[in-house]
Amino acid sequence: MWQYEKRLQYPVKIKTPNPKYAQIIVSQLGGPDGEIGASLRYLTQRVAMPYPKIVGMLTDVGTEELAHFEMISAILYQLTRNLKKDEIVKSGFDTYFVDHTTGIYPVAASGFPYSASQFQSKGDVLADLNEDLAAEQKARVTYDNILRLVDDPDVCDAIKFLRAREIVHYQRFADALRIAQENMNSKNFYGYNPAFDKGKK
Amino acid sequence: MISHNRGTTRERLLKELSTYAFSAYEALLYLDAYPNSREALNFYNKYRRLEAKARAEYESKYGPLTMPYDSTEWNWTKGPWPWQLEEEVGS
Repeated sequence: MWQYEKRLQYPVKIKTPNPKYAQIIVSQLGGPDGEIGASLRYLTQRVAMPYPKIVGMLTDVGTEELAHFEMISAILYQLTRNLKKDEIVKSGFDTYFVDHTTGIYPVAASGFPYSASQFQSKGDVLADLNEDLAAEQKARVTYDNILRLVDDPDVCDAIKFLRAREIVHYQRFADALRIAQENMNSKNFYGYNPAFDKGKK
Repeated sequence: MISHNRGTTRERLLKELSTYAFSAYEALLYLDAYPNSREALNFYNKYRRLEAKARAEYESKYGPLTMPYDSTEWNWTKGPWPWQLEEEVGS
């Protein structure tokens, strides 16, 4: 069960619309390292996870990623307010506009729509947690790249918050990997998968 | 991090609430891995209490943030949605 809370995790208040920035930042909505993929990754992986502490982390981080999906949506909405034809065509936003107008649609900046093929739920404790650690770093790099391309301080403020969260999640998942390994055979982490081979030692 | 001199009163109260909620949430994530940390638990409880107080103040002035209890009038769809700027709110 989930309950919606009618507020952003961190405020987004952008004074100056800029469709070019929207076209870049949309990647964190539906791109290969975007927030909806992050949320689905953790909320699917948690079900097969045998360790309660790690189920808690995947639940809580997966839920937070939905709040990030909402923040990116707010950034895109505010960056595409009151656009004129010239701005749409000159900025290159026209290729998104023709398909979605100014509606919010999860797609990579390069144009590929969101696909679940961009993440894994492997049903294996070590494989899933290592994917999670890598995912947080890849998302952090995407935010670094956005900060390399965007100058508006209103936009950068929210992007910096999201970037910092990737680093915190990485640290928490490092705890998760340690907890998993403490529960496994330290002489052979790869001897069996505790998410499936439950009867075996 | 909290800027008290920018934005409307509503935005200021919402930011205060969000700051407390964020602090509590950050401790919650930590407690998932370190449930025996008394320090983290005290931190969590402190900010969760501050959040509840700020939430009550905000909701009394600007309407519910989650599914309301015992409403005398229906305010859920009133006021700006989180992505909207205050000046664009319709009815």
